[in-house]
Amino acid sequence: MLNNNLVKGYKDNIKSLSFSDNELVSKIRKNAFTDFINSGFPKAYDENWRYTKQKFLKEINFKTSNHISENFIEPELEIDAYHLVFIDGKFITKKSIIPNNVEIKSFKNLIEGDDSNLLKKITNSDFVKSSPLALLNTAYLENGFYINVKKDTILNKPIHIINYSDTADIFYNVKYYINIEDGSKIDLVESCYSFKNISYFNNTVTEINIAKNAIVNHYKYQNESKSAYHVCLNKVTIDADSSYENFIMQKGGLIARNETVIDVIGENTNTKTLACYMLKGTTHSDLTTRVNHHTPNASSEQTVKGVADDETKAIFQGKVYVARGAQKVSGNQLHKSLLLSDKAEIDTKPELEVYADDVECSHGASIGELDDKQLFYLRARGIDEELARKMLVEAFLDEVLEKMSNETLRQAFVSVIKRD
Amino acid sequence: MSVLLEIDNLHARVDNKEILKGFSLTINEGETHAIMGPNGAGKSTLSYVLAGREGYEITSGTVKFKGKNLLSMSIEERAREGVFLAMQYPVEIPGVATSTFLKHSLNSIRKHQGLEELDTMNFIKVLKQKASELGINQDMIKRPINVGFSGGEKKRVETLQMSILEPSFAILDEADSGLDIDALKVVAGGVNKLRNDKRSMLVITHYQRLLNYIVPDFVHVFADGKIVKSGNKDLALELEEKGYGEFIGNKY
Ligand SMILES: Nc1ncnc2c1ncn2[C@@H]1O[C@H](COP(=O)(O)OP(=O)(O)OP(=O)(O)O)[C@@H](O)[C@H]1O
Ligand SMILES: [Mg+2]
Repeated sequence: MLNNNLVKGYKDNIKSLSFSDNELVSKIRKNAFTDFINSGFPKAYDENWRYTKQKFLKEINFKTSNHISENFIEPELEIDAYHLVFIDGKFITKKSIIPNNVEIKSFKNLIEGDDSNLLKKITNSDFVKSSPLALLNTAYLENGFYINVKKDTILNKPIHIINYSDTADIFYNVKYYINIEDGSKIDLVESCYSFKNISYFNNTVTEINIAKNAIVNHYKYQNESKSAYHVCLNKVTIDADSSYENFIMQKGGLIARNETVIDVIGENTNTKTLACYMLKGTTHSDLTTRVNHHTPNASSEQTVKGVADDETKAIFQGKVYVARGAQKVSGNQLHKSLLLSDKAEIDTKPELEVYADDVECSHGASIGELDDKQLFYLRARGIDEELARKMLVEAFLDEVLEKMSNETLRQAFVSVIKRD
Repeated sequence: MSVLLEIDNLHARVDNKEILKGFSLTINEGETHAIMGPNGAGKSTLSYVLAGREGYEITSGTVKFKGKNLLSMSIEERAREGVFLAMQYPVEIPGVATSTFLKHSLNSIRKHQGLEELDTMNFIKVLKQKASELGINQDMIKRPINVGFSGGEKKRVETLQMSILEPSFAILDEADSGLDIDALKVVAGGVNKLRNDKRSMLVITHYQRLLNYIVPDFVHVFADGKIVKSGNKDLALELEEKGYGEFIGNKY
């Protein structure tokens, strides 16, 4: 069953990665690989993978590569930010602009600095052990970051993690481990994109730990190649009096799956997960989110809106879990979508799992089409059909975008939609 | 005087129900025609068929606009050629600002006419000027189209659109419904300002009162899918007095 190149060819693949001669790195990779072999790929009956058949993971026969591409095309999101640039999953120091009041260490820094404790910590969390793809990510560990935002740091510009793909038929793994200490405020932006029609597999794992009284906005723009596989896993932990806002704009990829798990472990927190998708061609998009409320007095909101055109498939699975004793939690969830073609498909599964009795939770989902009357009205004023449809789609998605709290970044995302 | 619009023996159905049953009307450049008729006669259907809305099956008849076959044009082509429909029930579009919408609209039409497109600054100048003439405040223009507008506000904004787009042929489907007395004068004033010897209007209304302000050249009684009587503005007064019974026989 596990006879594809990612597994059978593992030993060879590993050789082409950097740091193969480092003992600690080899050990971390090998242990993770053994754990991965024991757990296998996500199972067909795994509820989290209900609408995205994991079969493709077994069939992909890509290899890792030690080639470092020199091609780089600026990201579509135009924002004034610090840059961490990756090409084909490899960190490119000379293209990056790093803030000086934040501790940022690439894996190279960690390995060369012999920081074995830190290295183990970020590659071997309980979360990693619980997820096959995170284990695979560690088994192929090569590039990534440890970011530590010290107490009471207010970053004047966002950190933009730019992940550009240029090389065909490769498999790459990136890991970000981000600590945000008490009282800090930071905006993180991720762009994953390619301007080539090439196939590759981007398997990224992000872990974010937010301490007390911090504010974190975490926005992502996904426009991978139409033939690419994009599987990203995000794990966020939020402590008391903090707020975390996640936004995803999902556009590209052949199979693009983004799973976010948020554990709320302190009181008086605010969690927002926002997403919009605009799918064309044959893209299969899977947005899976889970918010776990372990503590009382918190609010979480999930708002997802999207449009599926051509032969695309859009999935939203959102779960709000409220533990026993986590009283006075409000958890609201909404998924609204538009089918723009007869051949597109939308699957939605909102779920509540609540074990406390004094909570306010709701969920809703709707699937519709563009409104004929509105289309007619716009066209009757001379606007051509294509633009009229675009205007209505933009207006539909705007309901999500207008919830973003960083106005400058919001504008950048809006311009990307308008340029489309 | 040259012919602008020529509708000949038009038959149209919707959901297998015949609504227009041999409608004919010729409108010359510069003329204003009024159409009055009972509820359900097919007046709004006529206006939609002329504007090109989908869902109507034209079973026979022809419509020529400036000598061209109007029925073969797309909705937006008709608008660009100069057809404007002020709707009985203007549509609400959440998320699309009125000003953005109107800028796209005006520029689409200008482009078609070979005119230069207006940039945002120049467009806003025109928009503000026309809006204040119609007593529409600046906040409203920034709001999404028709969303939360009162009935009267919607009608004012339809009139605003017309004065900005300057169509050669405007259909006003119950432009007076929901208007208070002052607003009626404002809207009628806006319409009259546009009247000239080239531009034609088709005014659909239930109330003779509107025609005191927008004085038509011709009045037609529309019943059961076609025109059953035509006359001058006095016909409207006669209708107001006697009702439709006399014109449509034993139905009333
Ligand atoms: N989509 C439709 N399906 C079925 N019947 C329709 C449809 N649209 C209109 N009709 C019918 O066609 C007839 C004409 O309607 P229309 O709206 O054109 O009348 P009207 O003259 O504008 O009336 P009013 O004065 O009340 O505005 C009505 O009987 C109406 O019910
Ligand atoms: Mg009507």
